[in-house]
This record gives sequence, structure tokens and C-alpha cells, in this order.
Amino acid sequence: MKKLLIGILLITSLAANAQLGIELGTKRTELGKTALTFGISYLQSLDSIFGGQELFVAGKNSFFVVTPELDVVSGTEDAFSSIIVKASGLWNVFKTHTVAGLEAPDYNKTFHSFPISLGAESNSQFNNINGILEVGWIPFYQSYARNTPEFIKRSRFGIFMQAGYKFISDSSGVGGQENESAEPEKKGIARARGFFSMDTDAFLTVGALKIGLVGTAEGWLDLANSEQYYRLDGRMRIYLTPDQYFDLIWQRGASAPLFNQAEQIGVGLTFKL
Amino acid sequence: MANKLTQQALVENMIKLMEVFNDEKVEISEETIHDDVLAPDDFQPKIRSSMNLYRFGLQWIIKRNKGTVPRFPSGWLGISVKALAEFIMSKQ
Repeated sequence: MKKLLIGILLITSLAANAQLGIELGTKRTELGKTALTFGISYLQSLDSIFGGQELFVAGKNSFFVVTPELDVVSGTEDAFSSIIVKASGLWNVFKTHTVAGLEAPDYNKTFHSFPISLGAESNSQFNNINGILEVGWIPFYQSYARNTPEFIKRSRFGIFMQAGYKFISDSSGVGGQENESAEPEKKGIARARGFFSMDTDAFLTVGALKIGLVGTAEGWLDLANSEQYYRLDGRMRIYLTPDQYFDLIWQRGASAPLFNQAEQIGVGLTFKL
Repeated sequence: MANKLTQQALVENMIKLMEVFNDEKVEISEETIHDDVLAPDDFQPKIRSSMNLYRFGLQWIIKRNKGTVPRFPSGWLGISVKALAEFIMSKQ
């Protein structure tokens, strides 16, 4: 845990030009213990690291860009944990139109994103480590300039194929740290992954409080071992400001690499910096 | 055939791009602060958040219309459409 915190402090010190989100909370874990939890999400464009545009490629009706990305979910006791470090690429293909005499991407029409990432996924103890290459497809159909129902604009989905290698696998964890993955150590990884989410934003006002609901379902199909895993995450979100909010959280199932199917409930406070 | 990149044309394109992500139904003008409409984590993965899709779309417009794509200023989400357009045009 100390190593992890030191790593996070180093990263946050580099975050002057980055997008950084921090979530702090407390949760009741599968073993009935109260755990402190935290989540860090970090994204910095290579443009801001290298100061150039060499990694942004503009095609006739597409662009390709690459950035590094870090996502950390961890906590004390047996809380769920996962760390994902990756270089993310994005290939976007769209129709174009002319605005004020300039050729421009037409985001009002549905376009297609093909995220590509190469990186590592681990738990917070670094005793379960996978190397993963992921390629996905996510359509963008949520333009608020379009006349489509609001609930459609608030939805998200995508599908991915993942291939990789399990370098280290430890089965000694308990509770939310238990390794329930069927993927054997020193073997290849082949998975399909899909997600669906809905974020209502603040749709209800109670006195001075604005309240929203956020739900996410994520599933993995382990093609190499014929297993399935899922993760459900439901939140009632109370907005303090648009960038600071308080969540009442219910979670069932964890993501890679542990694929733990336990349940935990808790509260969280998120700041975006 | 690329047209000339002018500040006015750039502003019109920036507003058009922002309208796509305007879930709060903010009245968008050249005085609008980007942060009022765009967010760094509203679409997954984060590389395709509204903030990034807007920035990449804008970079594509500049590049395809024979402009020079500058490094965006630190904290650009906190400045207005007009201020960012002026910054971009100052680098042409």
C-alpha cells in the first residue's frame, strides 16, 4: 500500500497538465470489514508531455491519437482493487461537413471510435499481473445537437477484444482480494469485454441538493477458459458542485485481474482536479 | 480544397463542436468557458471524453485546413472560446 501511495504521489506531482480524478470513500467489504477505499484516474496527453503534435495524425475523415492512462481502484482490508496502466490510442472515423468555409468533422452524425491500448493490469499488491492488448469499438451517437431521446444520449456502450499474457497469479487473497480468475499463470489471455452504462446526471432537486443515478454493467467472456465474469456498479450521486460529488455505492463483482464476484457497499467523495 | 483559417471561422467551428456535448443546454457563444460544457470523464475510455473529442476535432480542423496545430495552453478548459481561438490564431 505504501509503494502504491508513493507512486500515486509521484504521478500527481506530474499532473500539472493532466486530467486527474480522485475518489475517496469507505466500504463494507465481503468479509464484513470496513475498508477505506480510493480511486485515482489519470490521463495526460502525449502532446503535453512532449510538446509536439507528432502523435496526432489527421486523415481524410479520421484522426489517430495516443496517450498514456492510469486507473487505480484500491483500499484497505479486503476491498476490491485493480490497477491499469496503459498507452491508449484512439482512431476516430467520422463524416465531414463544411462550417464557415472550413472542412470539419460532423459529430452530429453517428461516428465510430476504435480505442486501442497496450498495458498492464494488476491488483494493489502487485501479486497478480497481466499484460494486455485491447482493441475496441464504441459508437458515438449521443450528440446533444441531435433530436434523439434524452435517455439514449445518456447511455454508453462498447465492445472490446483482449489478448495478453498472465505473468503472475496469486490465489492467497481473501474476501474482495480473492483471485477468482480461471486464467492460469504463464499462459496466454483471450477475452471479449463489453460495457453498458447510464448516467442520468442531476435529474432530481431536493432542497439545495441535486441528485443523479449512475449505473454500469461490464462483462468479460474468457475465451481461453470458457468462463464469464461481470461487474455491476450502482451509485446515487449527490452533487456538491459539478466537479465534487458524494456517492452512495453498491458494487458486485470486480474487474480484471482478480474477477472477484463479491459484493461491497459504501460511500465515496470525488474531486476532479 | 482548404479554405483560409480565420478567427471568425474557427470560433464558428468551435461553437459547432461544443454544441454536440452541451448536455446542460448552456447558451454557447464565443464568451462561453469551455469548462461549462466539456468534461474530462463523460465518455469512456477517457481518451474519448468530450474534452478530448472537442480538442481532437479542433486539431483536425486546423490541420486539414492548412493551419499549424499548436500545443494547447495549460488549463485551456478554463478559458473562453474566443480566448482559445485568439491563442490558436496567434500561432499561425
